[in-house]
Amino acid sequence: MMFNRFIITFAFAVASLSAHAETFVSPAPAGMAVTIYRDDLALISEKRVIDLPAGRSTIEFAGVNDRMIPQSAILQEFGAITIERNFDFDLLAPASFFKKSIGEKVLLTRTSLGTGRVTQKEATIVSGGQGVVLDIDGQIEAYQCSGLPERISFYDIPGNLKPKPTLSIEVSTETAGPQEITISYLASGFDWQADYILSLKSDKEASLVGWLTLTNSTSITLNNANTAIVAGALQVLPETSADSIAAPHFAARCWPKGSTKSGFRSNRVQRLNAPVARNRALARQVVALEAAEADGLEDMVVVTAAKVAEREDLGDYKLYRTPEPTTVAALQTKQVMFLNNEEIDLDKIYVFDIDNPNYLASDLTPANVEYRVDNSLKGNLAQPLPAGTFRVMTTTEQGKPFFLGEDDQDDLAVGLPVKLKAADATDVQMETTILDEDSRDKGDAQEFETTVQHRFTNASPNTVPIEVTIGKDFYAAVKVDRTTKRLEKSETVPTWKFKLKPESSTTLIYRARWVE
Amino acid sequence: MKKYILSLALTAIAAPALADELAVTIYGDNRALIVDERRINISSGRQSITLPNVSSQIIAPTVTFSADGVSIIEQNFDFDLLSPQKLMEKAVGQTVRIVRTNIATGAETTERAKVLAVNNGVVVQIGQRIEVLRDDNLPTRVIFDRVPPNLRAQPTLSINVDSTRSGDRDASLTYLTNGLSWRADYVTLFDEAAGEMSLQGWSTLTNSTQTTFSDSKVQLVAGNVGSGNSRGRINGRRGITSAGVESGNVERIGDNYLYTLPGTTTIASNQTKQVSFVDASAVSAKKAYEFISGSFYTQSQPQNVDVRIAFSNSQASGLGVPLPQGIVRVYARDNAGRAQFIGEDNIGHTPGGSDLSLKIGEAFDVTVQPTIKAQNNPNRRTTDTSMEYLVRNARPEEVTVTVRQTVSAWRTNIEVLEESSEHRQPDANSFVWDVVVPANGETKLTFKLRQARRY
Repeated sequence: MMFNRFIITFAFAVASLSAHAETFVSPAPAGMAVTIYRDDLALISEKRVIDLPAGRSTIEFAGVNDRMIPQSAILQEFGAITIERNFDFDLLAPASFFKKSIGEKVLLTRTSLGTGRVTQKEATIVSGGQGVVLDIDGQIEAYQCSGLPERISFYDIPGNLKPKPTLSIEVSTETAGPQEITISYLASGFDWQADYILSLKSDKEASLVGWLTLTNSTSITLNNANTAIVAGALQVLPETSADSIAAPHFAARCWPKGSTKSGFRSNRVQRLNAPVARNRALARQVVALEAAEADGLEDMVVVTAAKVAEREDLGDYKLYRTPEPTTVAALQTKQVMFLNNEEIDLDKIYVFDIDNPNYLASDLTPANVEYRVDNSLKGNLAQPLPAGTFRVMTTTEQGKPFFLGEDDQDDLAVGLPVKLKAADATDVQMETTILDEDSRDKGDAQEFETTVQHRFTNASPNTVPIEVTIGKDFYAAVKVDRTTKRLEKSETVPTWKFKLKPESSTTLIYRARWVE
Repeated sequence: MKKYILSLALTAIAAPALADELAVTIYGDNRALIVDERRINISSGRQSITLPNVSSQIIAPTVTFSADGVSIIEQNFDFDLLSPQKLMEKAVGQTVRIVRTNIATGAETTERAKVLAVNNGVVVQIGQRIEVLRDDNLPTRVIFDRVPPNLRAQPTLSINVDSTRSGDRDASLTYLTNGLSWRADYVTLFDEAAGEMSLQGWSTLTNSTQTTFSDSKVQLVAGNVGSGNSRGRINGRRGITSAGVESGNVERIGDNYLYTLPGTTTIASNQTKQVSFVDASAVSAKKAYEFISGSFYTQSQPQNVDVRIAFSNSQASGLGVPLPQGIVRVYARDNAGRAQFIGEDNIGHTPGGSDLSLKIGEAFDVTVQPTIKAQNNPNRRTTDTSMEYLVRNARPEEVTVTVRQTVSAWRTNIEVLEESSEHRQPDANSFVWDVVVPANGETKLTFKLRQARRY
């Protein structure tokens, strides 16, 4: 194979890293797109327009999602050379404030409880990691350990403390002027699922509606975003998830404050500020909730059903696009219809799937009611069905909807059988009797030989189609002979199919053999 | 970035906190080698030198300090952090001042008190009276005259030295630290139709030492730097199907690759920094479907096959550089031309010229359904198994699925008695069939395998 147009650039060689580039803040995206994957992942693309001078500069991206996975960030359609990217998560919080201000001068304000008189003094922070120690004119005192109201004012924000985790890139551009950048990154905190409603019209016909349910549990609202979901099993490694970046939490620790009354047990210290939620998850929820409330939103479900999502192949996956750009708000669940077939063909079968018949000795087993959908053009469907929950509904005689049961399915390509075991049938039962059981050694293996009798009963007023299989999910091939009913030839494992009249019963006897 | 100098260093000499020249060599296993060169003033004779601004995760036994005409007496690393609690504990037996404030009038009275004990409460002696501090819960300030030695705001290195002369000189401090790490993150845009991909490699540095390394010369080491027992070694193939023999254009040290960042850079505390180290386009790459079965089983649910991307980092395929261990994230363009994420895999440290195969996910439309058709034992030591793999393809084009059946060959002769197409046997334990499946169709792979124990 010849490739004569390959290029290799060692970006190291392009430019030196030592620089004091001016920082430009990109306040918000000009356009957004989001693709949501299963299991807590999304790809967010933001279009940013920023005016840059020629030469070296640093761009700070404000408003990127707080659950971003920084190492996944990529820049597209950008003419400049990226020198380095930084993700800073030294957060501006009281704890880091003190820690980073060691050696700095601060203003200490004390208010007299009796007179209300305010005194202010300059102090130096001597230590701040585990409780604050101050140097006030050469006198060493612990901060907020005396019981007097006191507060500290800082003159400056120390270090590079940021209010939120910040993504910045240092770039070098040849020409000055507005630049359009597309920045894409993976983020945690998004999810989707598929939900199906199979509404029975008869035992042969149904309608099938599919919904994509999108969830944004981050605190950032994606405004008017081109939204898509990807169905299929991508490999995602455990490293690809957002670290929970929590602000360090601060308590002004003092010396033990025990009294003669309680001193021998209590080692509690006074706290400087309101109690901090210790549970990070809870804290995140609180933050997210506050963000949502600030946006005037609560946990809510938005249903968009005017149009159906469009589907395309993305490599070996299926990509569904919302019919038009949509807003995926913080803490919002949004539903988009992706499938709506008014009339599909259906079979209703009463199923008994048997693995090892010996395990069923003397058991009474109800039939699984299985709804089979022919997912082909012939069956009037021919749609890929992303993994999800199928809910089977019917209509009562009074015309009210009635829930019959539900079943979860894996991703199902067109042409694969769709078998929904939604419920058990109390009216249709199988009674198992082992007539003879034997096993013998065959080298390392054991050969089992069992003669089984099943009695099938139908207490319903309808004729029911019954299907019995052996070894559909089994570690051995089961051989069946000496059967009192005819075996189906075309199936991959031994299968019987027969109909049972209302209020009747029938008996099946056979010999099963397998090697373990 | 503001720098501060500890003004309360009580030892004889405080070296300037500003590093004159700082070199940071980062390994992939959360370790780094720091070479810190400073110009400091050392007077003649015995003294203690404190060196603040060293990594808070310094591995103390690895510290080496050297300067002209200086011999080392001892090295100390003080972790005893200055906190109100420690301040009070160290004041036991000493005198502090107590300032009480009258809450009605605001009038202050100052008394001297001796700290007797700090155990679940502070016991002080004021004159002849013995009291528990703030037993009345009224505002009481405690004023200490000084900060006790060896209590520091940050973990601090101090070195007792004996110098033959006095004056400014270059000193060099070398140590290993934890908390600095790097790994590679690759971005690949795969163009299936063109049979090629672009590959961009980013080195991702993470600093969790709580220390900022300003204006440092940074080098990254790719390779497993062990400690006798192969610390950090990862066994297994890690995406490499065939190790290469091309040396490529890369700096080496020992048996590792070395990546030097140009100029100097600042690695801030709580920062993830990324610098590009390889950028290649039009690297030839192709997609493959694979299904691996390690046992014989009958399954009613069709299994999705693995999607893999195969490429080489040889010069001929358009890359020609070794690839340090990391994660390769694969993107592909959708119909609207937007790059979409399609999966990722790990790679190990990969020498130049290697063949790689990365699993990125599972195909929605291509499935395999296994069924054991028959099992027989012709004699005590022999088992014959007839398998059927029904390979279905719902895609609009023909696909080839590599079905790999692995069987243990330990003390066993394995023989294929019947097969619907010819197999390959890349190793003793693997039997491989390339199954061609027509567009929107299915193909049955059937074979009969004999496993005969030798004794």
